[in-house]
Amino acid sequence: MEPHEVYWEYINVVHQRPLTPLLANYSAMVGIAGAIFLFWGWARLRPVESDGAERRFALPVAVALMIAGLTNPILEVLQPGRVMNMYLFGWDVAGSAIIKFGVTLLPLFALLCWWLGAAALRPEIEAALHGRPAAVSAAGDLLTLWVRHFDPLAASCCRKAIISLGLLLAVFAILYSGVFLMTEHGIVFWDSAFLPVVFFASAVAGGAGMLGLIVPLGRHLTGNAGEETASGPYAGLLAASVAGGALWLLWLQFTGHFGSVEVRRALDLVNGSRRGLAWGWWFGLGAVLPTLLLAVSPLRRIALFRYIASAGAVIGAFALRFAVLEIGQAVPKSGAGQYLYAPPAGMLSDLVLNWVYFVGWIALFWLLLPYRVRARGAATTIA
Amino acid sequence: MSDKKGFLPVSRRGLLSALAVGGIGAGLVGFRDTLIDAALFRRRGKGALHPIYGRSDTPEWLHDAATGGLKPNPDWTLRHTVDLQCHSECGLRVKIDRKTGRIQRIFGNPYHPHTRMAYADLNTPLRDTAKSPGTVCARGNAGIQTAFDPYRITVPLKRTGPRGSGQWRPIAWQQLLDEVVEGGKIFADTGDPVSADIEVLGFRGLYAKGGEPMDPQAPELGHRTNGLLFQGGRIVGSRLEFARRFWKSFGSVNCFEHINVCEVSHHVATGIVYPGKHMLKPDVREAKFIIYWGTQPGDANFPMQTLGKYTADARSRPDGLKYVVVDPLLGRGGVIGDRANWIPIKPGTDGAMAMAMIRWIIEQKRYDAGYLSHPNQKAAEAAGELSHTDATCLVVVDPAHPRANAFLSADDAGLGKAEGEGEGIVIDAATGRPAKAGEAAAGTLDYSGTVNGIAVKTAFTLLRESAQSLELAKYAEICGVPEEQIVALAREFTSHGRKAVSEAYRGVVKHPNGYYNCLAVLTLNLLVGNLNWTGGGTLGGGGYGYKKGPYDVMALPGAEGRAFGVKLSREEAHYEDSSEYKAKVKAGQNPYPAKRPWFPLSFEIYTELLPSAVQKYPYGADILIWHMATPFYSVPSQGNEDFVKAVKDPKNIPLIIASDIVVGDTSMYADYIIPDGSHLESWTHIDTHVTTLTAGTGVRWPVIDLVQKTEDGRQMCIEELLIDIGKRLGMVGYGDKGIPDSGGNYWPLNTKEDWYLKATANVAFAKGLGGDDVPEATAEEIAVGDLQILQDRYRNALRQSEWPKVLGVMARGGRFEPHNQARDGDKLRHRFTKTLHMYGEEVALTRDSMSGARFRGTPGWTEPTTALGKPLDQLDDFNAWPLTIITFKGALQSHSRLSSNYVIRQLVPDNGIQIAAADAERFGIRNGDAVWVVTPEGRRKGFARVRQGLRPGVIAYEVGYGHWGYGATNYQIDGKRVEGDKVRRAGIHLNPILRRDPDVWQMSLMDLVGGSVVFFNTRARLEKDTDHV
Repeated sequence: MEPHEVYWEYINVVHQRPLTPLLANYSAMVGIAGAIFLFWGWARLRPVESDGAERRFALPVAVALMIAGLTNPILEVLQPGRVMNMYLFGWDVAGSAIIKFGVTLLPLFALLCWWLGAAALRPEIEAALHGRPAAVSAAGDLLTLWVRHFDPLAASCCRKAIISLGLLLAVFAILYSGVFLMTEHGIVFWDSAFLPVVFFASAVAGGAGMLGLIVPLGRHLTGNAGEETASGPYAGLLAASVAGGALWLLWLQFTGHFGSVEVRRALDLVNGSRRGLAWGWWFGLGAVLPTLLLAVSPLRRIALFRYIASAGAVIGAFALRFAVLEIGQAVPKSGAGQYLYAPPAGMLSDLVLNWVYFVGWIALFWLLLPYRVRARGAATTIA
Repeated sequence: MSDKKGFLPVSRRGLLSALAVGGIGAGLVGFRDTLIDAALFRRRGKGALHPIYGRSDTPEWLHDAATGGLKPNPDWTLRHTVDLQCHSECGLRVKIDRKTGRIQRIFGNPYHPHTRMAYADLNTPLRDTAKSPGTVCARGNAGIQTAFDPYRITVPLKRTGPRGSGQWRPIAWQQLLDEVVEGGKIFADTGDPVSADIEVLGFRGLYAKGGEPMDPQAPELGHRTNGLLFQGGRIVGSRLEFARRFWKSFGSVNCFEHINVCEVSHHVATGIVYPGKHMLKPDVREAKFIIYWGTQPGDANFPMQTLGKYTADARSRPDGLKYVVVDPLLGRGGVIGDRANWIPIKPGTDGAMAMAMIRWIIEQKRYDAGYLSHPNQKAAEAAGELSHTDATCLVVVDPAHPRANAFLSADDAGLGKAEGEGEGIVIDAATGRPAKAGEAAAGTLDYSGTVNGIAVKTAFTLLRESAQSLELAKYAEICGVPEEQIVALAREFTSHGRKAVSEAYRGVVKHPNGYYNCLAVLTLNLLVGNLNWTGGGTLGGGGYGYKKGPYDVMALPGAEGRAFGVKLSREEAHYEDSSEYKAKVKAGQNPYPAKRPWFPLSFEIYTELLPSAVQKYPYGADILIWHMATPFYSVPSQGNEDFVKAVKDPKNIPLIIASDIVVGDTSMYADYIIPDGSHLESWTHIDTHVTTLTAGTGVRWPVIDLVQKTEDGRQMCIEELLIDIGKRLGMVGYGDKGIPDSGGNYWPLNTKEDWYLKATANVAFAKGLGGDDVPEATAEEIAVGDLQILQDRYRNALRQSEWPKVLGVMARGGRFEPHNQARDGDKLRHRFTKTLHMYGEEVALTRDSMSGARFRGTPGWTEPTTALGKPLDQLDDFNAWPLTIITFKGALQSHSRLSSNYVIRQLVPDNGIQIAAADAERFGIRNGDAVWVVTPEGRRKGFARVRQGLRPGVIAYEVGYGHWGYGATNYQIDGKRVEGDKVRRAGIHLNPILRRDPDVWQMSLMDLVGGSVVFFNTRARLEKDTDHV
C-alpha cells in the first residue's frame, strides 16, 4: 500500500530524495548504447566501409540497452505517469527540467537505431519475408520499419545525413546524463565540466567492451560463428580507457587544486570510504585493466584477456557513475550534512532485474531477426 | 537458425527463446506496477499551469488598470496564521488555491512582529501589504510538506496486535468514543494475548472515582482521577489551556507540556532573578554588546529568524553591535571576525566562566554600585534608574538560626512588620543602621555583620564570596577558556554601560548544574543594571489576554478545586510535605533519598511522567494521552529497549491514546491514534516573543482542512475528542452550558470553534496599549481571506456585534502593538519594576529530596553530579570515554517532526557525527568514515563529519534525524503494508543512548533544581566501523 497518493504531487515538486543506482544504471546503459552507435556509424561513414559482424549485430544491442535503460528512470521517479504525460500534454509539463530533452530525443535515438539496424539486415529481411502471406509481410514490414521498401543505408541522397543524425543523437545519449548531473548545481562535486567528458570516455569504452563481448556471443547463438569481426572495438576500447582514466585523474587533480571545502570533502570520500568503488571498480577495473590488457600485444592476442578487458570496461562504466552519484550527493554545495547512500534491497533487485530484462530483449531480437540467412545465402528464419 | 545443441543441453534457438521469455517476462513482472502506472498515466501529477512559466504560481495580487494599483487575484485565498515548525511561532501568510483548497505557498505575515523589523501597523489595509510581505525561514516555508505529508493519518487507528507491533486498523469516531469512554475488554479484538483480558477502566470509570482518594494514607496525592495523564509535546498557548481546562474539569492535575526536555532550568533561573518571568532577552537592535551563552543568533532560540535578523542588522551598523558566542560549537550565528567572536567552552561549565567574570568585575569594581545600592523601585527611579535589586538586602547566614538562608525580616531585625515589596532589611547607607528595604534610599552593598544578634550578609556579599571561592585560574581550568580571554570578555561586557546583555539558552542549562550555570549568566546583567534600558535587557511586552474578556473561557463554575494534589512528576511540591516523608521520619528512618526526585522549584517535568507512572511513584496512571509527544525519541535515554518494553506492557499503563498527525516514533506504541490537525489545521493563541519588545498575540487557526470529519461535520482532533468525552460524562464546562460570558450567561461548547472564537474575541476586545485597536475587517479583507466561511459556519459562537472585530483579528493573524512603541528614547516602553534577585531565597530554603541538603541561594560554580551527588567526572572514566556528546538544533532541522519536509531534507539530508578535526586526527578518523558512537548506554552507527568550529573533546549531532517512526519504517493498516521512507531514517540519533542516572530507575541525568533533563553530559568514545566499505 502506498502512503496516501493524494499527496504525492506535493512531494514531487523537487528531487526530494537522492538519485539512486538506477540512475547510474540508466546512464551507463544509454551511454553504452550511444557509444555502440558511434562505432557503428563511424564505420559506415568511412571511405571503405568495414563489413564485420558488428554491422549487423551492433544496433539491436543498442536498442535493447535503450529499452532496458529507459526503464530505470521510470522506476526511479515517483510519478511514472508524469513522464508519459509529456507525450500527451507537452514538454512544459516538465517545467524547466532537463528531462524534457531526454524524453524527446532518447526514444527517437532508439527508434533510429532499430531502423538502421533493420536496414543492415535488409537482404536477409527481404529474403525472409519473400513469398510470405500478405499479413505476415505487412507485420514484418511494420516491425522492420519498411526497410524492404526504403533502405536508408542504400539511399545515396540521405544515407550520410541519416547516419550523421544518428551520430549526433548518439553523442547526445552519451552526454545527456552527464550534463544532467552537471547542471544540478546544488551538488558541488557534479558541478564540473569534467563530469560529462569522463562519462563520455567511459561510455565509449563500455560500448566497445559491450561489442567485444556480445557480438561474438551473438554470432555464436545465431549460428554465425564463422563471421569475421572488426578490430575496431578493441582499438576504441583501448583509446577510450586511456582517455577515461586520464580525464578522471585530471578531474580530481583540478578539483583538488581549485575546489571549495565541500569539493574537498567529496574528494575525501573518493579517497576514503568510497575508494573501493571509485578507485577499484571504476579506475582499476574500468580503465587501468583494459589499458594493460589491450596495450600489451601478447596479452591482447589472447581472446580471454580481450573479453576480460571488455567486461571491465562495461562494469567500469557503471561503477564510475555509481561512484560519482553517491559521492556527489553526499556533500551538498551548502556544506550542510552528509548523506551516504545505502541502496535498499528493492533497489538492488531492480538493478539486477534490469540487466536480465536487457538480456531478454537482445535474445528476442536475435531470435526474431533473420541473421542466419546471409551466411547460407537463402532466407530461412526462425519464424 | 541452427538447432544444434553443441555443448549446451538445449538448442541455441531454445536457449534464445528461454532467455527472451525469461528476461522480458521477468522484467515485465518485476516492473509491472511501474510500467502499468506509466502506461495508464497513473501517478502523473498535474500539467503545467503555463507554457512558459510552467508550475510557477500566479501572483496573489494583480495590477488594476483602472486604479493603477493592485487588486486581489480571485484565484487565491490569503490567510494569516501562526507557524509551529519551530517554537518561534512566526506569523504566516498562507496562499491557498481557492478551487482545490491546497496550499501553494507559505510566507510571512507582515503584521506579525517576528517576520519584519518594521512590521505593518494593524490599521494598514491588507491590500497595502502586498508589496512588503514578511519573511519566514526555510522551516516555515516547508510547512506545506508537514501538512501534506503522504504519511498523514486522517482517521482514528486502533492497534490490531500488541503495542508497538505496527499493525493498525481504521475505526469510526463513534467506536473510538465508545471504547475509550466506556472501557471494558476493549482489546479483546486485537489478538494480543497480553491485553485481551484486561478490563480497561475508561474515562467514565475513572471519572466516577472523582471522590476516591488516590491513597488514603496520602491525601496530598489527590483523587483517583489524577490517574488521567496528558503528556503534550509541542502544545502551547490556548491549545494547552483547552487541554488543561478539560483536565481540571475531569479532576486531574496531570496535564503537562514538554518544557523540561527543552530548557526549563533557564525559565526557573530567570524566574528567580526576574520574579514571575521566564525569559530575558537583549534589545538586540540597540545593544552594543551581547554575550550569547549556549546559543547563537540564527540557530534556534526565540524567535530564530527574528534574532538572526536583528543581530545581523545591528552588527552591520556603524558603531553597532558586537557579540560573543560562548558555546562548544560554532554554528551559523557564531561568526568569528568582524565584531563577533566565538569562545569554545567545555560543555556545562558556563557557570564557572560566568563566576570568573563576576569575580573579576567585582574585584575591579566595574559593576554599577550606584544602581545596585537602591533597594526599592521608588529610590531607583529617583536616582534615574529603571529597576532595582535585592543586592543590599540582608540574608540570615547563621546556620543555627531557625530562619537560616532566608532574607532577614523586619521581625528578625526588630523593626516591626514590613508589608509588600521591599520587605527585606538593608543597612541604610545614609545612617549605617538597619532599615526596611522599602524605605531606604540606598543600602550598603557589601556588608557582613550582625543585626539584632543575627549573623547576616548582604546578597551582594554572598555573591562576592561565592565568586571568590575559586581563583580565576581555577575557573579557567574548569571551563577550558584562558584566563586572559575571560578577563577580556568581562572588561568588554562592562564597557558599554547599560547596553550590554548576557543571555542564555539551552546549551547552558541542559546539565545537572544547569540552573546554577544560568543563574550566574543572568546575574552578570544585574551587575551592569541593564534591565528596561534601550539596548539593555527586556522581559518583553506580553500579549493580549485570551482567557478573559467578553467571555471567561477558562471558567468551570462548580468544578473549582476538583483537580488537586501532588502531580505525578512531583513538581511544585516539597517532598518534606509528603505523607511518605512524614511516615519515614515518624518511623525513625532516614527519609532521604526519595524513591525518585521531587522538583519543588520547577514545572512541566515531562520526562519524569512515564517512568513515574510505570514505577507508580507516587501513583500510577490509568489513561495516558500523548499529544504531539514523542518521549522515546526526544527524551535522553528513554528510547532504550528496557524502558520501551515497560511502557508497552499494558499492565503498567492500561490505556494509551496518541493524538498525532502520523504514526510517530512514540505514538506507534499507543493503543489508539487519533488524527490531529497539523499546525495549519489547528487553533492556538500565542503571544509574540520577548525579543520584539512589544505586546502581541498571534492567532493560529485551521487555514486548510485535511483530516476527516465526525458524523456531525467536526474536524477529528484532540479537542473534539475531549469535548465529546466531556459531554458524554456530563462534565462541567461542556455541552450547552459550556462557557460563561462576562454577564454570567452561558454559551454552548459543542465544537472547538465555540471556545477558540471566544478566545479570539477576548483578544480583539482586550484593553489596548495605544495604536493597537483592531479595525473591523473590510469586505475585501474578508473576501481575500475567505473569512466569511467562519461566520457562516459558527455564526452563533459569538455575538453578531463581535464578528467584524474578530474577523479583523483573523484577517491580520492576531493583534500586535505597533513597532514604534517599543522604546521611549533611551528607555524601553515595557518595563519590569519588581525587585530583581541576586539571592534566590526560595531556592535557598528548599531541600534536595535526594540528599536532604538545602540548595544554594547564591550563584556559584556547581559541579555536575548524579542525583545522589556523585560527580560525573567520577562516573565515567575519562580515559575510557574521552569525548562528550552535545546536541544542537540547526536552523533547518530541529524537531522530531520535520523529517517529512523533503525540501529541507534535501539541503541537509543527513546529520552525521560532527567531530573536531583535531579529534579526528587523534583517532585516525576521516571525513565520511562509518563510526560507532559508543556510550555507557549503548552504541549507534553514523558517518563522521570532520569539521573545524567544534571544541576538541566534544562530538555533536543535530537533532531531528534517525527516525524509526514518522514514516521511517513500515507498518500495516488493515493488513496492507505502508512502506517506510529511507529519507526519514537517514542520519543518527543518539538520544536513546544518552546517559541515565545510575541512582534512579530509568531517569535521565537531571538538574534537580531547575528540572531540566540533561543532553550534554554523556561521555562517549568512537570506534571505526571496520565492516563498512
